Amino acid sequence: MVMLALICLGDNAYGVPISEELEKRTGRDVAIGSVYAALERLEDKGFVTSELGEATPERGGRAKRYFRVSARGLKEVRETQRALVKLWHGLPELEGGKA
Amino acid sequence: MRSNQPPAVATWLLRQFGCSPRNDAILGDLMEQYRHGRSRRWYWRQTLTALIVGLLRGVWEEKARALVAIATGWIILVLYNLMFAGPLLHFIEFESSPNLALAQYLFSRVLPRNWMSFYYWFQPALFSFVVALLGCVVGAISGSVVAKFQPSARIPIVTLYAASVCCYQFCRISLAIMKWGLPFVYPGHEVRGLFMFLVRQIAWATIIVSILFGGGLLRSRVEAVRTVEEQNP
Repeated sequence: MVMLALICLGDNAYGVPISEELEKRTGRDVAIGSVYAALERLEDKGFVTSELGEATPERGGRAKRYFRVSARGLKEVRETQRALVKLWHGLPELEGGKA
Repeated sequence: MRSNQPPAVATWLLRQFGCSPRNDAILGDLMEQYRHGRSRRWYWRQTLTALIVGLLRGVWEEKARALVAIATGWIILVLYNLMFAGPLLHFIEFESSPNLALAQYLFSRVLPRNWMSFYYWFQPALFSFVVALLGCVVGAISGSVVAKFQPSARIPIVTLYAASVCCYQFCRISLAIMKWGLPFVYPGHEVRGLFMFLVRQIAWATIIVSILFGGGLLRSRVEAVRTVEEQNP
């Protein structure tokens, strides 16, 4: 879900917009600490890269950290999508929006 | 009117004990959201979640070393309790100590009557202070030893160690109260009982603070703050 939010946000993906995007999509309150924990795990696996951005006074002078999905990450997202679609087609009860 | 500054204690907690390598970015994001209208309650909830998530992740990544480090810290504390604190605290309970009862009797013959309040108030407080002082030294040593096991995961390991000591004391008090009732309700000695109870808890609190101090967690952490002036000279 975090990877999809990153793809959706493009170049403006730092902590605040990522958590806002996730809140908007899921309709639930999102903890920034958990978002960063997920991003750090993805970064360790090489699916995401990050770089320091600008510092603003409203952030108390602290720099933003922008995240971007790497080529490897994009490949992983596509593979996961394919796997999910295959799984989905294997469940006739869920097809056609019937639960 | 709501202050523009987020809760200072929450910010300090996250700055000192935040284990994430992206701690500065988290602090910045929280401050930005707070200034865009989020509540103080939201800020506190986010801070505590970030602290817990970072702590668990940091410990999990070095779980074997964390376990050995925390066990070593506990061995130091148990040895200290068995060899120094236990006998000394037993000595404080002068009602059951024949040495102190004797001293009390002898002093009552020599000193004026009103000096006996020394035994009633100051002497137990003095002994507790000595125990707390020794505890501080031992706590700082154990904190320092625990921190040296894995310097890269120093913050989560030392924080978890201090939290385990905190939990132990809380469970000990709760069990004692369930078993024997409130420890300070001795008929006719309620105020002194409460005083003794509080002094002992303060002694424990100083040990916990000294663990954090020994582990280097109370030193001011350098933040990667880049001011706007620095960016645009």
